[in-house]
Amino acid sequence: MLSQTARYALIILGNLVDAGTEWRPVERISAETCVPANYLSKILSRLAKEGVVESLKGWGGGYRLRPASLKRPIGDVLAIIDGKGAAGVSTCVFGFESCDDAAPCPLHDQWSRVRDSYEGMLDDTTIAGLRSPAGAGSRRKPCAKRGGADPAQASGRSAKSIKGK
Amino acid sequence: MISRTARYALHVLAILAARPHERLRGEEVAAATGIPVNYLSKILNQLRKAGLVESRKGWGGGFQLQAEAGQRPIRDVLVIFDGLESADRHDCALGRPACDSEHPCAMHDEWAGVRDGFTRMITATKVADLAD
Repeated sequence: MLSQTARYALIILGNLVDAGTEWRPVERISAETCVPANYLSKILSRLAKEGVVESLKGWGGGYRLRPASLKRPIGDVLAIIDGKGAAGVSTCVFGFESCDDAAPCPLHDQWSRVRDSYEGMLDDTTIAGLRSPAGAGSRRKPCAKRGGADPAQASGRSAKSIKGK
Repeated sequence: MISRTARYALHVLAILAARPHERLRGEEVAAATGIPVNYLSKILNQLRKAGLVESRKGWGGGFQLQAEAGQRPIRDVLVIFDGLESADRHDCALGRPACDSEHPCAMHDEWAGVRDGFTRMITATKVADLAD
């Protein structure tokens, strides 16, 4: 239901919630979330464009959450990343165009219940709620091998990408 | 949560379950479901191998729901096409490997509710129920 990009966006926002009001450079976010640096930059600039996060260029800069974003439901993030229909959730499970209460598909009622609880979750969970669970830092696993996820590699690369903006 | 292929398979089974005593030709199933013919034949073949559908070649042949298949939960169909992992989901909504009930992520409890509802749906619904 959640696309890979949307999951990454939520994990990134969780990292920024942990950071509080401090500016966090891209390479650090990448190292801590294991989201590849170039993927991460695209997601962050999208979130900045929509006013969820703000960025500061130059030395000591990076990204941080806008204070007002803390109260926004994660449904907003999904709408930004995956589009209004949040990855086809509002659609019929069969993909029938004509499926509705009057002419339901065979799974209409059951699927509506699953969908309602899913949409409830998106409304009830705020960005503030994405903070890391207590003790998660010490249990963090090293990132799997993948471009940009290694902190040493990431710093060189993203320093360039910040300059380029 | 359900791949396109599995959705198509459910649609095919719905058509076959609605006419349990007839053999439907591939073209008829294609016309009724709108699934592209070569995609459909792969799906039907997998359903046949899994014992949900039987087929007969030649004149008067076609596809028919296997006699006991109507009583099987649609979970079985999902397992065939999407694998066990997607039928019995235990994953974290955020994909965090370290997420568990002691160290839950923000969506942990509500996501567990969504997952349970999904599991209920696919275990309680039988292939024959798709015929309505």
